[in-house]
Amino acid sequence: MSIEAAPPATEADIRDNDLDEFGLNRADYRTLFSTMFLQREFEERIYRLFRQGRLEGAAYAGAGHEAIAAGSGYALAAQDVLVPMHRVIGAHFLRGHTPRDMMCQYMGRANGPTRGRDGNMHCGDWEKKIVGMTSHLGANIPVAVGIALASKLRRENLVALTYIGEGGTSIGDFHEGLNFAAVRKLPMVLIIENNKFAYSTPTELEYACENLVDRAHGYGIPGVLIDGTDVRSVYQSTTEAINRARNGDGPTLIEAKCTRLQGHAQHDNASYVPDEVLKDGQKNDPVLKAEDIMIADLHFTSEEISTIKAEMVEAVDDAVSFAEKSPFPAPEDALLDVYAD
Amino acid sequence: MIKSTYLEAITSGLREEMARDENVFCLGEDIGAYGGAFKVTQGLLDEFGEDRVMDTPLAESAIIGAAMGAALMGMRPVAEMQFADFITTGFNQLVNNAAKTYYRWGAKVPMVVRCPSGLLPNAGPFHAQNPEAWFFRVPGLKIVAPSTPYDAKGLLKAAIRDNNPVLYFEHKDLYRDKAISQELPSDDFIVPIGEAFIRRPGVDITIISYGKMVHKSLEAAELLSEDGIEVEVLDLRSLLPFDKNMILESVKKTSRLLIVHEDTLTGGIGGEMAAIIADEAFEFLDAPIKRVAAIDTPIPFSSPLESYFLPNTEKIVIALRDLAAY
Amino acid sequence: MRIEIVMPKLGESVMEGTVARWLKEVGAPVARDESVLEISTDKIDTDVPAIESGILTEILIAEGTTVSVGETLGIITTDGEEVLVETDNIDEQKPDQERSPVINIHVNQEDIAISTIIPPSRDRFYSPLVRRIARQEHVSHHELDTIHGTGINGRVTKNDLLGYLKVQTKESSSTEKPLRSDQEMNRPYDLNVADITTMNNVRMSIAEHMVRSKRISPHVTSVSEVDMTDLVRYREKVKEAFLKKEGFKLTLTPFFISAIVDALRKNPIINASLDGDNIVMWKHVNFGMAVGLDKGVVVPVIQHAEAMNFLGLARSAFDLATRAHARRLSVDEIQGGTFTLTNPGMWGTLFGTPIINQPEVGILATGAVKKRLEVMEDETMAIRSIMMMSLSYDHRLVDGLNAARFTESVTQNLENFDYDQIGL
Repeated sequence: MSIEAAPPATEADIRDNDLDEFGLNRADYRTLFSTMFLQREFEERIYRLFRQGRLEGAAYAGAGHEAIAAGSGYALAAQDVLVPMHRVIGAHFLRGHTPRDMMCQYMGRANGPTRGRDGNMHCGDWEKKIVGMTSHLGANIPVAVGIALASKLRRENLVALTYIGEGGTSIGDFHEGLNFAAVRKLPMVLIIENNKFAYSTPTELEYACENLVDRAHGYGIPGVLIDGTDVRSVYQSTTEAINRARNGDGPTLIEAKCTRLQGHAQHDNASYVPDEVLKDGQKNDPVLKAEDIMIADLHFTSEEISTIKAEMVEAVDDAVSFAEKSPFPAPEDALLDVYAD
Repeated sequence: MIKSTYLEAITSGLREEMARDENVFCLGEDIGAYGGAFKVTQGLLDEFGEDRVMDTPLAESAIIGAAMGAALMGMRPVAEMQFADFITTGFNQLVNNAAKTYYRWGAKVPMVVRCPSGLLPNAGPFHAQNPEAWFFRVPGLKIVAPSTPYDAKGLLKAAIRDNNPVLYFEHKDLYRDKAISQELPSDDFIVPIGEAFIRRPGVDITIISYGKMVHKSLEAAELLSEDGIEVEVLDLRSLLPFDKNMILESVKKTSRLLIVHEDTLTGGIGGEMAAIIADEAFEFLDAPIKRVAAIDTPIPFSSPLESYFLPNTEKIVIALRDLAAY
Repeated sequence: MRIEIVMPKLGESVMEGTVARWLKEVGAPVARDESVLEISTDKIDTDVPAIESGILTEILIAEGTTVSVGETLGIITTDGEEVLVETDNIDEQKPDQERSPVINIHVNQEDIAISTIIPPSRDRFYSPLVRRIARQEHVSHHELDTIHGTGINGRVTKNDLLGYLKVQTKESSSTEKPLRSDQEMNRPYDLNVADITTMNNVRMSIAEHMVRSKRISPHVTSVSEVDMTDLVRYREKVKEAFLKKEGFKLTLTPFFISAIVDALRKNPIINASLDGDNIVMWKHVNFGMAVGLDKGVVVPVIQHAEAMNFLGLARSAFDLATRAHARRLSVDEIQGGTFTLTNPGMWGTLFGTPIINQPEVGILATGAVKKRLEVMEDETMAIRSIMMMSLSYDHRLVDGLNAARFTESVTQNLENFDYDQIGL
């Protein structure tokens, strides 16, 4: 099973189709929760596969970022471009990369999105309007700027959505890109995923201002500070920012606060994270919070919730077995496609 | 036919491509109303408007990254580095982002980065470099370096129409050099990327060169001709990909090779050419492969230091005579 | 004092400018920093201020004229002493200052980024190209060694090799077939009447050489006799001791060589070659000894034989002959000879008419030593060991008189051998 669009509407969904104050209906919540749970399940599986010796390379899970991934990804219209970083695989799923795609990508198979040319989250597909990230975090921002620039020049009404960690805001490209977008009022949205640690570096060693969103003032653009563990806030603020951009009012800087619930990568045990930070993060686990909303506010039954979870687990199981049976690329294929025709 | 200087050829190349394809646009520092630091883009703002001749903030990384983003969208941006020396501040976007994108996830990046390069008198360490060697070893990039107005125009058009990121090194000291002005055809023409050109046929020694040094090599060849030594001057025109076949053919004919470039000696692309020829044409060599290049220092400012630093006709002649006598 | 007003360089790539408007007339006074004229360039229009106060005495470039950067536009004359004006000509040195010369035109090769040519080493170096051509044209290494090189340190260049090959083909192109098989045999034959094989390389080489030698040199052979009695007796007397001391048998050969080398020293025209019109008198005696093998003749050469004593010659001769039989001679050991000794006498021949080993001009053949009844000087009769000796010589260079003197010298040396030099 793959998520490319919303799962089929149930009777209850059709009955309860009204949009709530966040602009979401029951079917939307179903999609959002499924996506968040899928991200969690998929990435926990990845880490397990590593520990089992069934994966090579590295993986950087987004546990704690699921609300940011699903909430922002869901706010995009079909023509908009996603320029993701590594902790928002949920947004990949919403844009059309299936669990099979992503598992083949992690396993370096010939039928993955990069055909084995790059690993983990470094995949893109222009047809799905997903840009492949690089390891130089922040380099994605000027690229998003360029996409927004082209959109404006061609009057295409398309918005570029991109991300950066709070650590990445220190790099030059953050400043150069955001400034360029602001000066030219480009249709771009930049979400800072502030999860309190850049690898092992805590925020007090990373920046001196109170909140990173304060920098928006310096660039002459609106800044929005939100709880990144609340999928509704993410969805709502991203939607507003995208609308602003689409209306020609230029870029918005969103700072979404969350907690990284695992190490920086599968090889990092995050012992530098103080216990109370981790405990607080676990209390505010976005997936659990979303589940609570589903049950309390949208009246999903626990059976329905279990069904959704089981479907997502099955999707991941399927992805693993599919990918492990998929072929590796031929060695000499390394020479292909250095240049486009 | 229109008589053009090297600079005028570039301007007209830009103008024609922008008129031909609405996706082509220019971005860079001071290129709009000011017409560019060297006046290459002069007049284009009036003709095409500020959406297509865009003044950017002082931010090379953002310029190159944005060019890539726009290229992903199917536009054909021509980004300008005010001086080639400043490309280093956008180095990462070029070599890790733009160059690797098609290989990694199959999206085309049809962008051009124009770089005014090479030495103008007393320009000093940061306004005179020839940085091609840094990029020569990046698979996914293409590099061209025209030496004549005809090639400047033809290669620019080819670069703009190419679906890969192309670095375009235009030599600053050739911009207004009347001695190399040419009559250019008024219809559309391109110079294919990857093809070299024999500027002067010869039989005794081959010189491989590009950019301004092609002209110095031709001067040196004329001097040697007075002694009955006929030097073949091969203008690379494209540095990546470069025309290996033409180089090998020439060396097989003459059996003696001199490589001349204005870039510094160590790590300059001449070394790579020499290695390839030593490998693939070993049995055709009657003399060691020699290079004339700038000395391995930052570019000095004061005139006597600068002239010691630079390769010139005299130094090429010395090297040619040595080769001939070997 | 005259101060030049020059066209300034404004902008990195601006090479010229136009005089737009003179703000002062000739003869007008100008103050320091006051604008004297307006100029325009591609990039900018601006004025040119005066360097010093004075009078504008000359306007050299008219309004509307475009000139190169650095050209003189006008002259301001001031009062005061002659002072060197700052120009681009920085070669001028202030006499009371120590300034090192600038703008070196003739740069030191090591300092500039031209990697210097390292000449090839003295042992003959052949470049990859030269070796390839040699291989393709079947030019052997020792043939390469004979080619004159015009490159650094006498290096054989591609052109040297190609030139050599052209000469070779010219020489052989006059007769398309090799000389050795110049004439076809008139008599028909087939497998019924004859067994047919092809000559091997060595045979072909010998055949070629013999025909060519006869064509090049007009051969005359003169025959003489040598009374070898004393020598034979001496040898008998010492051969055991010699064998014990030296480990190899004492033959007559080293006696011949010793005698001949001395005779060559005294008659150097026999130790020469002809190259076109040049008479090449070799400074050394490189003594070739013909050795008959199953498949043909080989002539190892004792290099610089004139510098060796008897024992040296004996040892050298033995060594070369042994290795000749074992086919272990190197290329260097079979070239460069200046005179050849051949010994058909070992097979019983009385005398021969040997063919000269080109490019030498003489070859000596020693016949069998035979006991004969001889009439002596005092008209008594005695049994003596007599050997006939034949010298073939090239009559282009060597006349009968030279030849006779030479053979007389050899004869004297053999009949009156200085046995003391042997040291036994």
